[in-house]
Amino acid sequence: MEKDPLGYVQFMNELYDKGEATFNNNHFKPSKAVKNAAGDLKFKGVLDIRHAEQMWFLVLADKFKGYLNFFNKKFNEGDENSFWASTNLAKYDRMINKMCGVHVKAVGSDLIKPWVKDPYSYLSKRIDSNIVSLYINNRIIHKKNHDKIKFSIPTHFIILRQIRKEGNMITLRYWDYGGETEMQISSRTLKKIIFGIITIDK
Amino acid sequence: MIRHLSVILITCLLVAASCSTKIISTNIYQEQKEDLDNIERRYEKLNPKNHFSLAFTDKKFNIVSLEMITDTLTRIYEFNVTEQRLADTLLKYNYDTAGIFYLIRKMQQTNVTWINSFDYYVNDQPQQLIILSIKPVTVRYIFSPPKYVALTYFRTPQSFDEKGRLLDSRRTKQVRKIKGQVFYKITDRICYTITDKYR
Repeated sequence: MEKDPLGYVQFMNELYDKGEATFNNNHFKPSKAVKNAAGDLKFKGVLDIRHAEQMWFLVLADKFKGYLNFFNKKFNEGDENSFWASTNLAKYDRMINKMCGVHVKAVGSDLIKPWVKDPYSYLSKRIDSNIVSLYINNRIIHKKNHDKIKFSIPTHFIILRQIRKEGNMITLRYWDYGGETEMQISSRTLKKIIFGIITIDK
Repeated sequence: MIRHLSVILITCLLVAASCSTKIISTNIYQEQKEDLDNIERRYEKLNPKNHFSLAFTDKKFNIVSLEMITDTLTRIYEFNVTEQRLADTLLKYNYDTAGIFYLIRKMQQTNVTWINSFDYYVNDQPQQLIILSIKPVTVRYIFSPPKYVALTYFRTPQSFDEKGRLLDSRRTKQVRKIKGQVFYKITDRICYTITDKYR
């Protein structure tokens, strides 16, 4: 979107008018159920009134599939909250590569953390010359209950905008959806939450 | 013998896993109505000037996660409530320091783990509600999830079905979900749900 806003708008208009469209040689022809759902998703905050973005998210999930979608590949009403919409690291890399036509390099996996000794140095070396995306377990930093034992699985993809270090505290500024978030965490927590580091050519 | 032991062990595990957490009080809102309504009113007064949310991330209500929210950036910092950094941060970003400290004390006293405002849309028109979660006294079995009571304060009277479930609007019979949860009527403006997440 940042690189080719006009192409994105043309694609969305064509998709809306004709029910199918091509973006960067990727042809999208969503199913009838996806077309019916786009614009009608509810209880998702500001996404409720962003109908075009609903269409964009649904057609992306409808086209690209990974092993997490194996048992639920066909969209039915309500599947936007189910495994139909989930994305693993390899699928994410593939989506970026195909949609943006750029080289993507990733370390890490869906269950085992990357073999990076000092994540802060690794990220700060790459952030200026590349777009850096992280695959993180957001439940550790954004706690939702008071249990100490938590499943160690990644939950979110974020785009890292800035990273800086003062003493043992690391300040991250990232974009996920909507605005940006700035957060302070310890070096230990940073290592704990990262499951994947995706470096994308600018 | 070993076979018997494993059967007993598996049975115990299944029984334990099937027991859900029990909340001791069945009427938390009525028991703490004054304090809870006071917290909501105080938050409603402070929030519009500088939007924020507060969450206690530890069981002893000592660690507070402060989210300072603007249109373009959300800052999330975690503090021990006794730390000077908390007051310094609130001052730096022009928040009502005394008002937020009062709110923190009230939340600690009433076991309110989280307070936030939440945007939702009715017929594409923006609406806002205030949501707060209480950590009740519970009897908890091994493997059973924690339980919290979440309260929503709407600005306008809402519609409910015959089971007391919150509806999307007066015209539809669709049950409205907030953060994936069905809410039930307390008053025409206040609803509750029992959930295993406080936010």
